[in-house]
Order: sequence, then structure tokens, then C-alpha cells
Amino acid sequence: MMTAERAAEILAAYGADPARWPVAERAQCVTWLARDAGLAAECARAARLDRALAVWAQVPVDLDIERAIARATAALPAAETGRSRLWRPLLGAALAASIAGALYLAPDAGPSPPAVSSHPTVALNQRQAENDLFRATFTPTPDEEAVL
Amino acid sequence: MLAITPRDELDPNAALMRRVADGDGGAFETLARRMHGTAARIAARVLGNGPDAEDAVQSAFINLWRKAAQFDPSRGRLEPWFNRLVANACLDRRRTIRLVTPLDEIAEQPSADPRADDLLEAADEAARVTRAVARLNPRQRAAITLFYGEDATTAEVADALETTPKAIEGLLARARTELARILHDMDYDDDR
Repeated sequence: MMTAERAAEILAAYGADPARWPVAERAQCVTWLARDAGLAAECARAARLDRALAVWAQVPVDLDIERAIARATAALPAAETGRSRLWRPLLGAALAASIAGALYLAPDAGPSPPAVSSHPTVALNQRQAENDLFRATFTPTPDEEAVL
Repeated sequence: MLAITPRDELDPNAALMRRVADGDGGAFETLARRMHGTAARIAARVLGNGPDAEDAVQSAFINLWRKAAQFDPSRGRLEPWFNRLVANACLDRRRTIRLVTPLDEIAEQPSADPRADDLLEAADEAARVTRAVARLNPRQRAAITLFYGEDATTAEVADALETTPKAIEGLLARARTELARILHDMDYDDDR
């Protein structure tokens, strides 16, 4: 609800131009100004400051903005975009997962020569040997079958 | 190929921002040239013409590049979002420099306009207000700059200064009261 105090607050904050006032309070504030001489005087004072600020707002600026843009552009390769920063932890996690997977799949029988594990055919032979060992260990003998 | 969404059609800067987020330096430069006027005005009014303002503009543009992926066009236009970067860069600079940089030289640039004599009074008034604004505290000056210099809404000023519209109302009121007092004191000093 609009009061004289609230109308004074609006003038103090936003000045005398109703276009700058909060939309919801604009009409009521205008009504108050029309019937309150004190507020009308306050509005005239606010209008003087508004005029001063309007002149100030038109003052041209004098910055070497081209230099600022050039310096910013030159700094871009070093300044990663937000998206690339977002990907960095994901890439790190993927790398960690691949390393963990490789360690999990690696045989326990100690390090093997890199040339062997990196060659597909040799790797297949190694896998076959591991399977044979697994079968030899866990496949029941006829005697064991009888017990089972 | 870049997909164009309805939001991009409403705000042509949104499509450019998505390209900037993907690391497109050309899109960045296009945006920088579109936005540099606003950045220059805000920086010069908060920090004065000079290297501090240029550094703040540079910093704001680098942050535009770094934070491009954070810009969400569904939450609003690019300009207020960028104004926040500029305002923050200015306030960060203000924390690192000691005193208010006099801004009166802005209004004392020689004019080539043939009506310069007619504009002399306005220039004097601009210089006087500029000196007065320079004596406000940085947040008050930033609020006045955005509200009167850039015609930002209270909500946009609040967004730029990372506070509430109600707090901005109080900030503007205190800034105007302080400005009126400073200008009154200046009048008094001039009359003596």
C-alpha cells in the first residue's frame, strides 16, 4: 500500500521520472505526488539531480578499447573456455578408469615384455594358455566327477 | 554445423555465445566488438578513463571467454550477464587501487563540434557531476552507472552487483543522497 513515506523512498531511490519507478507502485505514487506539497517539492529536487545525471550519462568515454580487445584476444589461448574446463575432470576420470581396467585385466604373473602384450597374435596365444590353465585347475577329474 | 534454436533467433548473441563456449575465437571477437561500447562506458564511469578501466574491460572480456558455457539464454539476455562481468571486474580493480581516479578529464576533452560554445555549460555541469560521482563509494558508483548510464532495470543492477532489487533501491537512495550533498558542497565552495 502506498504511503507518503513510501512515495518519498521511491523519489529518493529512483528520482523524479515515473518511468524509472517500480511499475506496480507507479500510479499510486503519482497520485500521492499530486496531492502532497511536500512530496512535490521533493520531486522537484529529485528532478534537478536527474538532469545532472542525464548530462553525466552523455559524457563520452575515452578508452583505448581496441587495445583492451586485442589484449584480451591475445590472452584467449591461455584462458580455457568453461566448456573445456568442464571436460577436464571427465577426461581425467576416463583416463583413470582405463588405467584401472588395464590393471584389472593384466595377468598377475608379473610384468610381461611390452612387445608380447602389445602384439595381437601373441596376446591371443597368451589368453589361450590362461584358459587352458583355468580348465586344468578347475575341471573335475573322473574321480572327482564320481564324488560330485 | 551450428543448430539455431528459437532462443538464438530472439537473441542473436546467444548463438555467438555457444560458439564462444566451443572455443571459437572469431565468434569471441565479433561479440567483443558488439559489447565493447557498454564495457567501456561502465569501466570509465566506475574507474575513470585510463589503464585501470582498460584492464577491467580486458578482464571482463577474458571472463566472457572463460565463462561462456555458463551463460544460459533461457535465463535472460547476454547484455545484463556481461554487465555483471564488467561491474565485477571494475569492483575487483577498485579493491586493488588506492584512491578514486578523477574522472573530470572525461568532460574536459576539447570538442570539435561547432556548437562547442553552446555546449560549454553542459560540459561544465558534466565535469562537476563526474567529479561528484567519482567521490561515491565503488558500489554506489557502479549502481548509478548501470541505472542511469546504461538504463538498466533495478533487477538488472541487482543481478550485476549480485544482490537483491530491494538492496539496490537502498544503494541508489544512498548514492543520490550522497551525490546531492557533494554537489551542494561544490556549489558552496564555488561561491566562496
